[in-house]
Amino acid sequence: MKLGYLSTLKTVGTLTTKIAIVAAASIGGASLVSSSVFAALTASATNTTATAVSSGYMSLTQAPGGASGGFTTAITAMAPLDSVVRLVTLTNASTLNAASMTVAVSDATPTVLTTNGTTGLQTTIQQCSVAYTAVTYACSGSETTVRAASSLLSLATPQALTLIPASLLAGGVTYLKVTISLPDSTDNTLNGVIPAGIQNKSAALTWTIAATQRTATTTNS
Amino acid sequence: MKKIKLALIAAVVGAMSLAPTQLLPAAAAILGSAVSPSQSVSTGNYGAVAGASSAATATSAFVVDTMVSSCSFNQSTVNSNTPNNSSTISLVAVTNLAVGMIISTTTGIAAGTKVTAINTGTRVITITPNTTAQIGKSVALTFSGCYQKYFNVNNIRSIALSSFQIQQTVNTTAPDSVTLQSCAGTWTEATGACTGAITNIVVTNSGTSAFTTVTGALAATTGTVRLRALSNTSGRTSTISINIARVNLRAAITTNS
Repeated sequence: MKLGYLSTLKTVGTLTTKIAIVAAASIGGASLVSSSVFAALTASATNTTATAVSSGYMSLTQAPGGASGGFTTAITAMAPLDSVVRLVTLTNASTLNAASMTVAVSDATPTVLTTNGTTGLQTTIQQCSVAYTAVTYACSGSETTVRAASSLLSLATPQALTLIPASLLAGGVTYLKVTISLPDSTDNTLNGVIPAGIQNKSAALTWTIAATQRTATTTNS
Repeated sequence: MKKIKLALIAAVVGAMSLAPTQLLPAAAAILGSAVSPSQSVSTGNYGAVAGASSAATATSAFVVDTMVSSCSFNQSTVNSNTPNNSSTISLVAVTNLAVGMIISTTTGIAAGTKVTAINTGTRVITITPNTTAQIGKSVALTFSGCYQKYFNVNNIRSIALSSFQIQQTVNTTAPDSVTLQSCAGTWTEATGACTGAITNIVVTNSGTSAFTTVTGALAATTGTVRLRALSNTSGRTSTISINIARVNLRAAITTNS
């Protein structure tokens, strides 16, 4: 198209004609993009009652479930194959429904516990439709695994929590059971000398559960 | 007509040249997040050492030496004669006996005769040299040359143990040996007696033994067990190493907390 246009210009002939074409282009372009108008008279209609418009917000809170230590109390002296189960209650205190939720874990003092996906800590997250029972942490409602066994290394970047839909609604409450496990180990300790490996390591974990707003909508109302 | 078309083309080109060329930024979605406070997670450690007492914590192999000759045991022959020139003797019991022990009695046993094998099932011992005369029924034989020394295996780490692995390196040659033993009850170290059953953990004639598992709970940090190194000759040493693998740890625990 561009070549054809230039070719056409070449065939037009006189300088005067070319000037006329350029001028027409400028005026035409300006006329197509300009929104300026000159009005001699104006009129307006204003609503007498202010239209209230408010934006929604997203707010998630997490707290230990029941008497559990949740994500707040320490876990100490784990041995290989040990598991510690914690309950966490997640509340979607938003005015907007959530479209999805993710979980991520960061470690302020990284060691093999969070930098090795095989020998480091692992976690599984389950959800119960009602609050878990005390002591046994049983689910009397419907229980689903919302995050299959994952290394904490893999959770260094946010990973999806496949929650039941009701959890995503504004005001929804989610009951989570988080199992933190230390995998089997091949560490041998000869004459009490602790080898490099998973023994005697510490992590300072920060669990972040995040949600994004529901899909934007266009409403005729 | 041609000029009109050209003018239209020019108008479009002009509009294109003046039109905005920058993309507007996309509207950002609202995010919400709940961030936990820092949660401390730590792993325990495991390990055990051998030492002279329950207070020993040195993280190195432990040398059992200067064994004291303070034990000897009597066992009787069964109710049948042992013929002359026999390499075996049937006993009523073989408790406390170890390969390498020196046998003595009133007749039929040459000085320095040693036990070379023990069949705990049939309670028959093999000796060298052979008997020098017939040994009668229910005759008491004295087994001596048991040089012993006691030592502890201590759990010095934070995870409880259900067992441990022990290995020894000895300076003996066959048929002499060093035997590591445990007692199901309590040792009386002055006499070498045990209130329960004595178990031979490992018998080593020379060199270094394989690691042998010893079953028994050792509490975290404080657990200890007293073992005996028993040799049939003086001047022998045993260098003890303790290995702890994951299989030696207490059973895994799932904690709701």
